Amino acid sequence: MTTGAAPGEAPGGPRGTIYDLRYRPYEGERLGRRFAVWSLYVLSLRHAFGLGRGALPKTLAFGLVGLAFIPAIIQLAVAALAPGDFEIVDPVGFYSFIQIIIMLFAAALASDLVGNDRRFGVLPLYFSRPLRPDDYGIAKLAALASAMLAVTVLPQVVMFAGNWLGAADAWDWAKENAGEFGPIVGSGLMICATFAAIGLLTATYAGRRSLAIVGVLAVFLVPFMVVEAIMSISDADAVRYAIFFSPAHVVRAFTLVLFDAVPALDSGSDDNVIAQADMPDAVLVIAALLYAGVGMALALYRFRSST
Amino acid sequence: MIASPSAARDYSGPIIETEALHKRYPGVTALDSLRLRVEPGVVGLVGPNGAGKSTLLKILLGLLQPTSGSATVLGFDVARQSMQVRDLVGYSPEHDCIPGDMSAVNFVVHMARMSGIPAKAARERAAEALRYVGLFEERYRHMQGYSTGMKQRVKLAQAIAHDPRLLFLDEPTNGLDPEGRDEMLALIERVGREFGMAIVMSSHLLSEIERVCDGLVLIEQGRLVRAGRIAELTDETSVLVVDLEGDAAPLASQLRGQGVEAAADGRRLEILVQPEEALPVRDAVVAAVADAGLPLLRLEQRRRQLEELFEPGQREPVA
Repeated sequence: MTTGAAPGEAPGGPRGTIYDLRYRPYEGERLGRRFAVWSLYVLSLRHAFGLGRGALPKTLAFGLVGLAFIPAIIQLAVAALAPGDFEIVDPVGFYSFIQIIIMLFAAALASDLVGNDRRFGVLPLYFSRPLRPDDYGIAKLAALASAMLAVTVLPQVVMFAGNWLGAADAWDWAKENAGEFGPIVGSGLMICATFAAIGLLTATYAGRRSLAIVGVLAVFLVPFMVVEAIMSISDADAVRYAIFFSPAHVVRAFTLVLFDAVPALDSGSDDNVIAQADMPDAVLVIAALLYAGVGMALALYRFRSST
Repeated sequence: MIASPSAARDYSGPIIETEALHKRYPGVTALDSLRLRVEPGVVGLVGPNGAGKSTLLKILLGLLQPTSGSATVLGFDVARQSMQVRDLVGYSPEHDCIPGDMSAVNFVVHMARMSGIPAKAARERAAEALRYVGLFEERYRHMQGYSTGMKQRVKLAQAIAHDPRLLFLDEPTNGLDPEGRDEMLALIERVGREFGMAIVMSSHLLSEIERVCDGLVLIEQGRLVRAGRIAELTDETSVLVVDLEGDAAPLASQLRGQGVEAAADGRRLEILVQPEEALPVRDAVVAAVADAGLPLLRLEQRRRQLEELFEPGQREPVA
């Protein structure tokens, strides 16, 4: 509806008139497909955090990021008040310590990234532009994986930096702990990739947003609980392979391998199931890479065939 | 075939050509051997609901694959060169495609970028496109509160922001009240005449097409019924309207006896006239009226309305 005069025009023009604006054709550069995919990635990432949108998605995303940072904040506060070698949670244990937050984050954002474009019917507009079939899925996957850095690598890096700054002897601390930085980043990236792929893949199957959230959580949590349960009641050899059905366990095992911290059997560790599985490190790494790789391939396939 | 995108912008051949285009869904044939050649201009794509209009547009955009047959848009083959086609085309779908949780300006900027327009230029073009369609201060608001009319305008703005050569507008007046409809049609007319964009606009309302378009493609059940310039279609035949003081039915049947296509409607007589026989028919009608002794109130020849050409009940004059 034309409800007002344009700036600089005489007000009070008759309703329904078409404003006399001369059309300017576009003679400039056209950047093509890569730029389009980049634009879609940037917008999806911004939308994942609710930027440019309403209060609810912002609250949800930043709320979960805040929760993921709580251990780091406490750690830093304690380190500042009483310098010493105090650790609430060590880098090896951090990701499983906040595992449920990571899962919630993946579930909430995956359902949003997939569901919004469908709910509003925007997809035909994307696919009538010069995008290839996989471009949309690649942008969405990359956006979710990048967003997940905020609840994985970022808090760990902040904690790492804080501990270093708070250390009594920064040089000694660096010599002792520098080797952990690689595994912190490497395992964080694996979590981002796997959770983003499985999260988006699952969300494409759910019609409604609430169902998508529940679905994504279930895909991570149900196998996790089942594997924990059966491995605690049975020590049959075949049961060892059950961990491969639980993405959360596989990713956890990858982290332990990277930190060279796979626990001994019955050492009372939270990761007893992985000790019990007693798989060679290489197998655990390959399993994790397969989860990430196959998950992404399937997610792209789903985007291609369901759009 | 066209070599480069810049050459494509100067393309002057037919905007659409299809050859034996066929689209079959399980149990339904949406397009049936459609052969079509559409010249530049503002072209109406008309047909009842389910005629295959949206299917045709989606195939032309490469959103759907035809079962068989071929089609070109601006000289590019839609199956093999859909990227080039989409570079040059703007599309406004029939259904709602407005993300309610974005502002119109962010949405149109984003869509311009999706067509490869660099960020800064996308912002400028989005602002201009929204001004062209008549959205000003409200463009910064989230679109969930927008009226249907405002949404239709945003849909048009995102379709023109990247300066396409050809616009596909699928039912652009859907859901609008008469006033909103008028405004949208005026807008489309202006885009077609002044912006240098060819337009293919689908509608199930002939009156809309007649008002805005200079060309017309009528499809029904996936088949081409008629295509051409509207002026030619409506000039083909004209109607002689005769108002009498008395019942026109006996006169109508008398004239039909003489081979004149006459229909009676109360006291009105409507006669279909082919151009070459306009004078003899006129004379015969005047003579018949005089013979019947009925006072003649009015005798007027007018061009046919599109509706009279196509509405099933009026294809042939009936008593």
